[in-house]
Amino acid sequence: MEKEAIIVANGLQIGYKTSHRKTNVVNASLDFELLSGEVTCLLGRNGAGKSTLIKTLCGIISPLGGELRIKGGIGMVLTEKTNAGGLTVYDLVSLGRYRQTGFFGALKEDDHLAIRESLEAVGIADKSGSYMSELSDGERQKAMVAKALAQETPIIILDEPTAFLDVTSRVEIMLLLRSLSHEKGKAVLISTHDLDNAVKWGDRLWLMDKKTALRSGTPEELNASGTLDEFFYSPLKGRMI
Amino acid sequence: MKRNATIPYIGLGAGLILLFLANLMYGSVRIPAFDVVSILLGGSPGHQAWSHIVLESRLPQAVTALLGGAALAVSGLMLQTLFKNPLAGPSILGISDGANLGVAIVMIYFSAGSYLTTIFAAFIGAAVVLLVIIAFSRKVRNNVMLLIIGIMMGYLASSIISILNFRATADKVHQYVLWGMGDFTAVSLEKLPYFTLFAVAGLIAAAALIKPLNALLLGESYAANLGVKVRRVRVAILLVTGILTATVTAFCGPISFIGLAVPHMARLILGSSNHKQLLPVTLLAGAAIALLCNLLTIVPGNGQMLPLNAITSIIGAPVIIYVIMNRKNIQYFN
Repeated sequence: MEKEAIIVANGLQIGYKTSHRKTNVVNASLDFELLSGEVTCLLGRNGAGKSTLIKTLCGIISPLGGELRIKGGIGMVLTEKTNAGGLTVYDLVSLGRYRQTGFFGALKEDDHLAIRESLEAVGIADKSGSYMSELSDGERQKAMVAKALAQETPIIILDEPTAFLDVTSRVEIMLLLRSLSHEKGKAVLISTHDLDNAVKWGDRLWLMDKKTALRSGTPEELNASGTLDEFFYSPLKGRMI
Repeated sequence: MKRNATIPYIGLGAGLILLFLANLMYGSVRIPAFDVVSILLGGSPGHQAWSHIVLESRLPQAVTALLGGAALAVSGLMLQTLFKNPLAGPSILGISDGANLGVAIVMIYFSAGSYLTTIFAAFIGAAVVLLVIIAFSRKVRNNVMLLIIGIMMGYLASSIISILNFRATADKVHQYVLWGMGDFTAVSLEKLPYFTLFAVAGLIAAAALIKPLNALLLGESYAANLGVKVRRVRVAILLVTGILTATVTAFCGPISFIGLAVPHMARLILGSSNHKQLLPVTLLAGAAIALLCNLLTIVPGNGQMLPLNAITSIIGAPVIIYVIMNRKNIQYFN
């Protein structure tokens, strides 16, 4: 499958508008390309601007400057708490069909098919009638990924999807995302603190901090060039963090 | 696992018919069910006066309770979803207090005038609070903060009412206090078409918001990503809620607890937060609870009536306490 640059940023400036005139710039100039058919892991310390970048790409906040081109829609999975405990897994995934359904949200055969396929792809089809509150943390996260899949967008962006999961679920989610990108050609961007799994399962890493430009490469390239060591070396503690 | 939604619909529908009939049967005079049905079908009852009592007094009262309960409950549901807060409700957001203030000004400072003046004043009061909240909603993105602004607006309106009462004559205060107890009997046959028009229009508009309401369960960021025009929907929900609340408050006085407690009852009955089923069940439950409350205001034997708000609080407050105490076991909180 040929890889395509599906998000392209040139000199992208991200941050928040704090009042009518003032802005808080988190990162002044970012250049990157997000490729289809790959899992890209976004790594960086707290405050580096990972969440701001994710929110900018997802359209939750507007870019402050620069150029950002996105080909197609984005399915999104966030860490924020939802009030979806009283929805069944099927109801939740059906929300992914919001744009495809009409005024009253009635599901057509196409929509049911997309929902069933999404549930099967993440391996929770047997839980479709269960309430979200009855699921484990890992299963809930899979349901959110299924919702993003049902959106049928070429891009899926996830903000720390494995943050509250146990080790087994972390690996499961990463493997799931990897197979979705490789088999369905989706561009998957994951913001994470989980370096081990990012290096192991990510096709590409983006290293982000406030001082330098965003550094991008395969885990092997970044490891061989010493960039990973340098990026995660803590001068304060004198050891890898 | 998912429960069958048909049973709540059938149960509530049957309960609603029985309560509606009971509202037509009981009052200062007890009229047998057979005669009530006969009057409704255009026949002649055992006593000539019964026809007048049922058609001129009890029928408008029962229809008002049915629509008023549905309107308040649906308003409460929409506000709880929008603010992601189980304690949101039309009275909490200050919309009812705004309507109260409008009525208080008319009742205390102008000779009570026609009912249309009172209704107009309530609409203006509710609309002012609503406009302030909508204006803030453009600046304040955080819904909890917006809820607090609503509560503050309610306090402000209540303070102004207290000051007005302080300066008013005793009989005007008495008149206002009576109105404040809530009353479904206030809508006569003559006023009923106006009340019905506003309430039904508001309920239809609420039904049109079912799709974005479901998306809002995931939070505003997810909703925006799914394609919801969040700000527009927020204004639409506040507007529909305002119309429904102002209508009920203007015609019947401020009625507490139905908007707050009934959406919780509906979720407990249904077991689901999906608005496709939850909104109709809330509507039916609101109508049924209001009819029940109206029935319970009748003091057996002497034909006197208890204040409606005393009854709605006795039913509503325990529900809220139960929900808060058991929130760890109730799925829509988890």
